[in-house]
Parts: sequence; structure tokens; C-alpha cells
Amino acid sequence: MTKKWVYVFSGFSVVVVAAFFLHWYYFAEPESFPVNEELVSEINRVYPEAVASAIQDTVFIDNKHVFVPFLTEKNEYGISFWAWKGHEWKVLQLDTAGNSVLWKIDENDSSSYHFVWNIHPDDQISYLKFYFVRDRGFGGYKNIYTYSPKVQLDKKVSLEEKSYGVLKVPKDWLSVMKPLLKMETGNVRTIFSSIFTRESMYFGYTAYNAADEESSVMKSVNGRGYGYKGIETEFVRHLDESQLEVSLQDPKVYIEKTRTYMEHRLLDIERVIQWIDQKDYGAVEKLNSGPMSNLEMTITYMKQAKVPDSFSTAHQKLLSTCEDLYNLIETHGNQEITDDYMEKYKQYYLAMKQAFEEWKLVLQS
Amino acid sequence: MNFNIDFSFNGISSLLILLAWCVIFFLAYRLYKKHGKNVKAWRVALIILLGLFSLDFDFNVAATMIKVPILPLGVWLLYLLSKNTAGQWERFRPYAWLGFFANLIFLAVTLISIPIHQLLYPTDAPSTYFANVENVSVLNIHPSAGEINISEERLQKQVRMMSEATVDGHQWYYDEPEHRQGGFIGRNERFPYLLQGIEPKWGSGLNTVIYLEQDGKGLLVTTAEGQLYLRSDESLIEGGK
Repeated sequence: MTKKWVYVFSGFSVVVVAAFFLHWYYFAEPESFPVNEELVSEINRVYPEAVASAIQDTVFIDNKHVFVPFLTEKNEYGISFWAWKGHEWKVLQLDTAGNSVLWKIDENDSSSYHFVWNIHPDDQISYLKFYFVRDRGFGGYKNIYTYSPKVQLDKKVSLEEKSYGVLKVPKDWLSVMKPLLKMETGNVRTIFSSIFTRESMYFGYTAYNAADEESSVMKSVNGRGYGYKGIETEFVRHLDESQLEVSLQDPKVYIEKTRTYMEHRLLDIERVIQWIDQKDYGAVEKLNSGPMSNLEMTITYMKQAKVPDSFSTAHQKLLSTCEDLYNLIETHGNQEITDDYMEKYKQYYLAMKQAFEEWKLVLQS
Repeated sequence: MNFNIDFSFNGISSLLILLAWCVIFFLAYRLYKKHGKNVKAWRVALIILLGLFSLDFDFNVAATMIKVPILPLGVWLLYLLSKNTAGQWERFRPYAWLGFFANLIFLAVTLISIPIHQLLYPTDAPSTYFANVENVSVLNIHPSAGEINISEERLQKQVRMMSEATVDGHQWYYDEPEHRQGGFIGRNERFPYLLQGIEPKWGSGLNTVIYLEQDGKGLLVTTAEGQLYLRSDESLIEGGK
């Protein structure tokens, strides 16, 4: 009888001790995060090549995950990923260049995804833009098609104050991503395939300098790194603007289009002017038909273009000078070319050039 | 968001699978009585479950996975486990094969569910996708999207009258005006909005994504199985024509 109780009692205590241990190992609340000196030495212990010298900050994503941007002795801006795991704070991954990385805290839950970055100040980046993109596509056969609209969402983050930062995948992105993912996974459960390995959907970023110009991040790539198991991260694609769409109503489109049109028209006409200066009226007659139809096309474009407010005066002036020249050529028709006509032609050309200069002034301001 | 759970409830197949299990239970019970209860009941259940284990030939019809059982792996396993004890395999055999046979019952159920599903939830009928139109909101998915609101009232009214049109994916992909100069692409998206809050018919198990066309008059309903393009005469955008 007593022997039996000994067995029961020891069995029971083993279970209790094991339960306590497992709870302690996996579920216990994290202890306080190591101080900066300890972080530096831990980074250099797991990856001596990093030669970390200072910690910039410790950014808590939740109570068990910490993003730690650091500096190295080689003047690099690094990133490290820390987590409370197995009852200790571990550095799970680090890189001596702070290119943007997506940290999937819980791989199966995209609302836990965070972008992190640490961009070298020498790259002179003033802000970043992050993107979620689903490429436009169509499919099908025998005239029965399907169509997938382009999805392009962006979010801007400033680098003015800090070289580093953390951005949780925005809520409005999630409400777009969620139905797309749910629909595409359909009724077939795909636990094993990560959604973002799928090629049509991806995250990306672009970088800009203080003048709003797209910039490269030369100093923030090609770092040396260390990775430990138990973390899911993904490089965020560095996109350039030629891979991204803007609305046709965007002022950028108007500016670029008007500038190209006008530069070409002025070149067309300049060629004619050359012959005018040489008094070769035969050549002028031959050459005139080109500028004529191009000018007509340009006028049609300018009448339809959606003009940003700041350009409206300059645009009107530009349009009227174009029309003046066009009308001159058209009313002249096939009549013989005279000096008087040529004089006017030149005059209108100069007016057009002047108007274009004024238009460009608006652009600069 | 977790994309491993919360798939919409598919009523028909759930019901039929339940029915299939009833049939299997009934057949097992008959065998059990016929063979004079020579195997313990809990063992019968285990043998049937093991017998189910098979190598299948899988293929998709529409978005439904069809599994044709080919090799009775579970039956073989049970044979290997029980052949050494005299008479055991003979007692186990009927239940093991019932387990494998159950695969065929499930196959039949799947095949039956396809036309029933199609009957109850026709893929070309707007009513399948617009069962519940409440608290609809618009999400902009492209830079060319404007700040718009949808008129829920108009949507509810129009949905019943909209006519089906051809999804001209190839043309929509290639023929939209595009401006490529200055290192960026100027292009408007034909469907720059996504509608949130529209529920398909209960029990259909469908996951839908509904896009709204730029002019506010077209809806592109997308499921894993295909697309339905609907056009209305009136714009669904508040203040639109």
C-alpha cells in the first residue's frame, strides 16, 4: 500500500515539475531587456565580423520581440532582431546594412508583419515609401478571360529624425490583402506555402532625397549578416519608379507629357527656321507639312489635358501660341511663300519658345 | 489576419459529409452484427479509420478537389500488423475494406455536391454573391482611384437589374492608355476600387472579391472558380450618373 503511494506521489511530482519547467521555458513573462553594453557584446559574440560599437535604440514591437538598430566600427548602420525565446533574450538575425526587411513575427498572421530599416545617413535619404503590389494580370483561354486589377498601395515614412524605424503593415493594406489572400487560397488549405512567395503579390520600397527625387541606397546594401533559426524575415524589394504606376491625372504625367511634346515641336520648327534663314523657300514648303500635323496633334492634346492649377495660365499661353502658328500655316495654305509670311512665322515661333520658357519657370517654382 | 482559418462555411458539402459518415456507420454496424461482434467496437472504429488511409489520384474540377482512391495503404498496413496472430486478419478484413470503400462514398458525395451546389448557388447569378449588402465600404487599391462613396441604396436596387457582360481581360490588360516617359508609368486602373461588406449566400462556402469599375457602373465579382462581370445603367457612386 505505501509503495503504491510512493509511485503515485513521485509520478505526480514529476508531472508538476515538468509542467513548471515547460511553462517557465516557453510561456514565462520576459525578463528585462539587456542593457546596451550587453547587446553590443552579444552581437559581437554571435557574429564577431559585425564589430558592433554602439546601440542606437531598442524598439519593442511587442513584449517578446525587439528591433535593435546598431552602429559598427566600420561606420555601418546595422539592424538586429531580438526575441524572448527559451527563457532568454536571443539575437535571431542581424545584418550590418540596414536595407529594408519585413519581419514576420507570426508568419501565418500578416497583421503581425513589420517593416524595419536603418538607412545610412550618407545615402541622404529623406523618406521611404513602402508598397504592397499585386501585379495586373489576365488569364483564360478561348476568349473566356479573367482579369486581375493592379493593386498598388503605398505608405510614406520619414527619415528626417532617425535613420531607422519600424512600420507595422498598415490597417488599410490588411483590409485589401485579406480578401485577396482568402480568395486565392480558396478552399484548398495551403499551410505550407507562404503567400508572399507567390510572384504576383509582393512588398517593395522606394527611397527619396530631400528634393523628392528617387535615390539609391548604396551604403545601405551589401552588409554582412548572421541568421539563426526560428525567425521569418523577407527582403523588401527595392523598386524603382519605372515599376510603379501613377494616375494619368497625376501632375507628373501632365508635366512630362507637355514638356516632351513642346520640346519636339520646337525642334521641328527650328529645322524649318534654318531654311528660312537661308531663304530656301522651296525647302520650307516641303518641310512644313511635318510640323503642321505634329502641331495639330499637340494642340489636340493640350486642349484635352488635365492641367494642374498652378500651370493654368502658362498652359493657356502656350496653347494660344501654338494655335497662332498653326493658324498662320493653315491660312497660308499653298500660296507662294513671301518674306512677310516668313517674318511672321519666325515671330510666332519665338513667342512659342518664350511661352515654353515661362511654362518651365512654373515648373521650377 | 490568419489565412489558415475562417473559410466560409460550405453548407452542402458539410451536410453531405455528415450523411456519408452516417452511411459508413450504418454499414459498419451491419457488418458488426453479421460477424457476431467478434471485434471490439473501439477496434472497429480504429480499423475503419486506418482503412481510409489510401494513395489517391487528385485532380480539380472547377475549384473542387476530387480524390480517386487507388492504393489501399491502410488495408495493407492492417494486414501486416495482424497476419501474425492467427485468425486476426480474417476478423479485421471486412472493416479494413469498409474503410477503404468509405473513400468511394466520399468521392460519390463530392461528385453529387457539385451539381447541387451549382443548383443552389449558380455561379452566373448575381443573387449568389449579393445575398447581404450592408455597410458596404470602398477601398482604393490604385493611385488612379478617386475619393468616392458608394450609394448602398442604389447598389441594392441595381444589383438585381445588372446585366452580365464579357470579361475582356486581354483587352483591359493591353488597351488602357498608358504614358511611359520620365521613368514612371502613367496608367489608370480600370477597376481601382474594392468593395467591402458584401456577403455571398449563406452556406455557399464562396470567398469573393468584388471590384468596382472606374466609371462606377461595373462590378467584377471574383471567386476562386472564375469571374462574373456585371454592368449597370446607373453609376453606383454617390453623386454619380
